[in-house]
Amino acid sequence: MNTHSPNHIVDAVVIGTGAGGAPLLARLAQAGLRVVALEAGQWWLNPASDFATDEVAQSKLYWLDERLSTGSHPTTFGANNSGIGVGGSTLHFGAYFPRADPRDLKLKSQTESAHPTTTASRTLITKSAHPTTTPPRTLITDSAYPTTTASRTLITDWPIDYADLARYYLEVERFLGVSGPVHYPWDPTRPAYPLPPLDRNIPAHLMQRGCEALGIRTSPAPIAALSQPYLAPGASHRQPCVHRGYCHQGCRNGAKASMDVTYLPAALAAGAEIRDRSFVTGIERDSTGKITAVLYTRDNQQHRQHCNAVFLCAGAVETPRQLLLWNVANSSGQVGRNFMAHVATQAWATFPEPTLLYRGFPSTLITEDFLRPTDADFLGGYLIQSYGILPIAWAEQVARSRKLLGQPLTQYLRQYPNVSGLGINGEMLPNPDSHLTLSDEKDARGLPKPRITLTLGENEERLHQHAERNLHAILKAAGGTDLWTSRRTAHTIGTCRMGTNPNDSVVNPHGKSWDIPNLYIADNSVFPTSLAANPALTIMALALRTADHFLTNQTD
Amino acid sequence: MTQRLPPILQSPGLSTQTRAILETRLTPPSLTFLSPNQLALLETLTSAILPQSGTRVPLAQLIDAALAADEGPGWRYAELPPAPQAYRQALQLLSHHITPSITSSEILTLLTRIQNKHLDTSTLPLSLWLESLTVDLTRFWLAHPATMDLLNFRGPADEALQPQQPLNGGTR
Repeated sequence: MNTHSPNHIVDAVVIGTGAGGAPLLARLAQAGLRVVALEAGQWWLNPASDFATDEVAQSKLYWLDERLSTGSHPTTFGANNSGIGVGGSTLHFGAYFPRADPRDLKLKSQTESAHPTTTASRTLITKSAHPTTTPPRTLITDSAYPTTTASRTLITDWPIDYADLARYYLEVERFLGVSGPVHYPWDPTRPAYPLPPLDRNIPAHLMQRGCEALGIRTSPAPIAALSQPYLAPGASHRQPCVHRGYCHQGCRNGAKASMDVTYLPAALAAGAEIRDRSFVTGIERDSTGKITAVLYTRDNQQHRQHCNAVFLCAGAVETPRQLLLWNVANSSGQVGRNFMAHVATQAWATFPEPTLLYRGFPSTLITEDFLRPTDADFLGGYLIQSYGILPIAWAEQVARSRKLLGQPLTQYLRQYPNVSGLGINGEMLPNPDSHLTLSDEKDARGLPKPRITLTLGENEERLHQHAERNLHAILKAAGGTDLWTSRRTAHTIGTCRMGTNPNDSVVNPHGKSWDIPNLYIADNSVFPTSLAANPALTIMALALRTADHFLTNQTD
Repeated sequence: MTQRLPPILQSPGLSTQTRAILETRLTPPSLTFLSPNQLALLETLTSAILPQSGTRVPLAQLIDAALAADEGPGWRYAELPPAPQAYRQALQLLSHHITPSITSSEILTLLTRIQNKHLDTSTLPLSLWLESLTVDLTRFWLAHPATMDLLNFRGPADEALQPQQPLNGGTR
């Protein structure tokens, strides 16, 4: 690995090595820039021997500094919503890799252009509805939608178009070797995925059976894991998935496209340096406000890396937490605002046959039939995924949602070999009651613990109920009995939204801070709305886009 | 003392690191945080919440050891105090409700009342504590090799898997 002296001024410091930081680091290094990545966690150089096939032991891949969770629907962190280590949360992500639906990027203008009585028109993309003027903020008057929610949401359009993302989507899918169908049923223009679909596990077969009975279309899901050996230009050779099923505990053979086996080796080959176990504690700025150095601790010692630019890619909790600690980039007052998590309702049922939930890639089937359901009484939509799961993660859902106690709890947990589930990823509208702040409580590092408030509105409630009905119908049609619902949320989104107005956004449409000329943000914190799609692919696409903008505008 | 190795640990499919981790779980933990009385009360509660048959995992001891090591999951409900404090306060409060003569059905009635927020206070929402305790119990129980065998769970045995081996789902 190339190394840089902390006293030399490097071109850029990248904070975080996950879905945002890793592609960006590779892009900058490949352009010949001197770049250093600071990663708070460990560098697992030998996953085959570093990773145990065990749910508890692999919590070493989670961010375990305590976060405080509150609101009407407090979201869980740790295993569900955090990551640490070289590769970030891609080390344990599910690699479910859908693209964003173009309509989700323009939810606000779509809503305003939709006629109340013709919901069918909402399935059209009305890109030219508001070509030049920015629509007023709270003009959601459609009586079909919950009015209480509409008045409370901070819904906005993304300041970029699908076309801005599409070419990056394609680039990422090809570089990572995404497995998926030749024809994507909900997007006829999409090219065939680079690799054939992964083998479906039993939960996927059950979902397919139920959906077929109900006339719901399904497709093998796009998965960022290899169904065949793969070698992308500039990357190392990777072996295909062996269906061990512990994808959320870290892949042992490099089949899953976590950043440590894809973009980060490419970055290292191009001369980037990665410093692991390096926790950022502050910055230094010059009289013009530009950042001149990043301060961090490593092995209990303070370090300083001089730099010309900083890319903050620490995710939608640690990124705003750092900005609030630094007390910068917040002239809009929007840092920490607009926190979102996907409505991630799951439903579970028992089947006569063994379901082998622990083998195969966990989620391998998708339907996007509910991204704009014609009978919706809510904005946005959701996708449904099949769900394989390991016993402890499943039992946590049982404990939190099914509320069994005593013998019924023990007896139900023993049903694990015969249960199967489905889950959704649904839109959450941003609202003023969901946000991240710094608490008064300090963690072991002496820094304030982040306090995350998640409050769901009427729109999320209606979406959840719609989804619950469909999940139950599919499970029943597949032969499932003893159905129940796990009410949950997943993914951390928002807190540093991008926009076109410095008064109500933290960064511009390229991820650049409105306040600090050499600070960029590239992670899920810049998402203006949640999208229904799982975020990883869009984070990577945005990060590459931000890197390209930086490279072509370095004289700014 | 000779103890027969649980079948999961006899599997040739375990990686070295996975086997090492599962083996450590056969030895009861030694760290303690709670007082003997508090631990006894926790044992009463844990056997009521998650009664075991076919396994004898020392759930209360495992929780006590985790409290001593201050091992959390990376978050907590903001309404609850930090876990060690929450456990002490909750057990203190429950010691008034759980007497030596209490029957198991009475304990379940009490737990249901807690679950339904009847014993919540502004400084200690006991319902959230019970939810966290139940999650902890299921985790420790299912992580034990004996429970893996009870459920015929062979997830950890992944060492010899090959890409060409079909998933059983393929025959449906």
